Amino acid sequence: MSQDRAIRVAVLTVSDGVAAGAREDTSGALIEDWARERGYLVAACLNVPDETGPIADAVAHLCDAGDCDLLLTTGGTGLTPRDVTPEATRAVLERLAPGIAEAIRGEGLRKTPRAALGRGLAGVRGSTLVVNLPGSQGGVSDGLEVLAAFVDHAVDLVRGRFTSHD
Amino acid sequence: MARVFVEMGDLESAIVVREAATADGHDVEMVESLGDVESRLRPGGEEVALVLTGMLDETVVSKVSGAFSGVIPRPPLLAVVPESDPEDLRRVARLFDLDEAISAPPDPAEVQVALRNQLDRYRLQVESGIVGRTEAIREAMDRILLIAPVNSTVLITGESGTGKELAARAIHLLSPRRSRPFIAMNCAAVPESLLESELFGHEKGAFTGATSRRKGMFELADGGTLLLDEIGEMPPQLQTRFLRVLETRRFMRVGGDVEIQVDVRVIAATNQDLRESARHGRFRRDLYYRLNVLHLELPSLRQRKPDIPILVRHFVHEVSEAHEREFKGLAPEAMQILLEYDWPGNVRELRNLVESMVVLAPGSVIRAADIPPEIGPGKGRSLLPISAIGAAGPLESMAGGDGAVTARIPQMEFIFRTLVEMKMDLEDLRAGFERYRGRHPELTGAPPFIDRHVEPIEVAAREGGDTTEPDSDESVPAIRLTSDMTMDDVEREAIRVALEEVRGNRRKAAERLGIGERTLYRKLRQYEL
Repeated sequence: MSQDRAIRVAVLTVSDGVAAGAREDTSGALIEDWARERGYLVAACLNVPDETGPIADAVAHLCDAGDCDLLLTTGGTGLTPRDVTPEATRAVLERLAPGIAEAIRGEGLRKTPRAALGRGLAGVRGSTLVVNLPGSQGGVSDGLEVLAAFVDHAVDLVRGRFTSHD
Repeated sequence: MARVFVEMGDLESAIVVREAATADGHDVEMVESLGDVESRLRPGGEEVALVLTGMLDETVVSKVSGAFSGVIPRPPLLAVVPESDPEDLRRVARLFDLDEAISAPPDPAEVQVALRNQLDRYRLQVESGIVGRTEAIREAMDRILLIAPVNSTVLITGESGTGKELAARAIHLLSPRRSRPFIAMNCAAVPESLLESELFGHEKGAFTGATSRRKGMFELADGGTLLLDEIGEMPPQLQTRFLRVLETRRFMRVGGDVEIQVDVRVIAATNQDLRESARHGRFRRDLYYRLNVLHLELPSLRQRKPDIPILVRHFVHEVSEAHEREFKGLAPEAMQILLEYDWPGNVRELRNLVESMVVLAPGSVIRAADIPPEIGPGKGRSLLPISAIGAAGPLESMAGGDGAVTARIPQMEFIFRTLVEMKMDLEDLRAGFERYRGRHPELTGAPPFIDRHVEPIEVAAREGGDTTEPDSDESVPAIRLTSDMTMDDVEREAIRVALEEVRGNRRKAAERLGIGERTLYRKLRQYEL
């Protein structure tokens, strides 16, 4: 890790089933484990139903509170009418980072053509990098694998630690 | 579904556009030229989009723009162009005043997305009244389209007169709540002591004067949207209660003991720097963050000056229709003056100016001479009535404080509207007299109706307190407003002129002023008239 203090990660699981307590949050747990293994601090783990209001509120709150550098969401990125995570995320982001989302989709496509159906986004609000990951465990693993290659540097840039891309 | 006219300049591209648009449910027509399409539109305001596919040049584009010059907002105009770099596409769009440029050969999915986006923006303009084609206003419109369906709190910021309420209404109209109520309330316009009961309602007997149970704005907006304008004026104690309601959507009426649950989307608006207020403790920090989930910043008119001609045409059309006056528009030198002015009161100031000019200008075209002298390059301190709402400057010094300014603004606006209505009444009388004279040839020898009696409602004073008397005949009653007048001065002046016009008949003067005779007598004593 390049930064002085550990990266603080928040995990937001978007799922009607998990929010209602009817399903276990396996994808959220996978992200938590990944973060801890990489020496990051897990600052918050929340879950919300597949509704634009709660998703936007949670993303905005987690970013604005200043307690996390990286916010990873899981779920709600597909094509069903209930999948609204990208719309809610887009509305609260200040800047988009389309390359990150494309890289995650590209890695997913190497495993399954269904990755093309994902609509996840990435971008910045305040000094937090926000990334939408799919809801499936496979999709999350692939996404995390891609992120591992550059997320430390990306967070440093968002934090304003570097002014150039060297 | 819209009617899409595709110009066949490049047949291959045109066919791709036709297939893509048809697949998206649009009714497509291939045409030789878009220049004569306007005359073929069906009455009733059908949705239309225009697509150019041939070589772009000034002549082609100006032909289309000319054909649609009277249509505001103009239907979306797209073009398929050889450029492919996104920045080049934006540059071409700007250069030829297109709504969007699509790279050739066109990709059907891109065509569909472009048509969808542009038609969304077009509908937003039609439904909300927010019009313009500059990058600044397009960004704001795109943001409205983006945040409208997301069911969360919105904070709209922007200078006074930039259209915050229009934007809030647009967000409501484009949201799933559109069939439910939209309630707007200005926190600065309600006395502090009443604000709580206005928001949450009260039970009978909750306080002196509460003679019956009353629902508050939150209850009235249930299922819909509540706009709280001037949110920065909310007193600190109420901010705490408001925050709790935002978090739980539950509250009790003032004096009540039953908790009420509502489903309301709150849109807050302010012209203050609320983040700065929160930093200095003038506004609750947690409330600021709770409101600022979705943020919309509206550009000032200074940031979108190229929109002024479109806005003027839009307002001239709207106002002449409302006042049933035939009006052609502005002379080019008059438009130039408007383009060079700073517009501290933004679009609202422009609208008020257009309204006053349409009503007061003697001809059917606004000339440079019809524009008040305060509207000019570098003159950012416009006077009543143009900047009656929200403009800084003379009003501020008159009222001596922010709160007082906001409290007095509606009164100034009211006085302006009253003056305009008086002018319209006199115009109607004049027209009636002229018609009567036309029917009675024996009166042709009588002197014509003297225009001067209705003309000199002087709507703005000269800068620097210049009190030079107008050249008009002294016997013509005229209201003279200057920048250093207080509200009492304005009222006194209105009464003085009304009395002069009715030759001292107090009953008629009271009628003319829209007040009771007793009130007039009291005011005559008060102002020693």
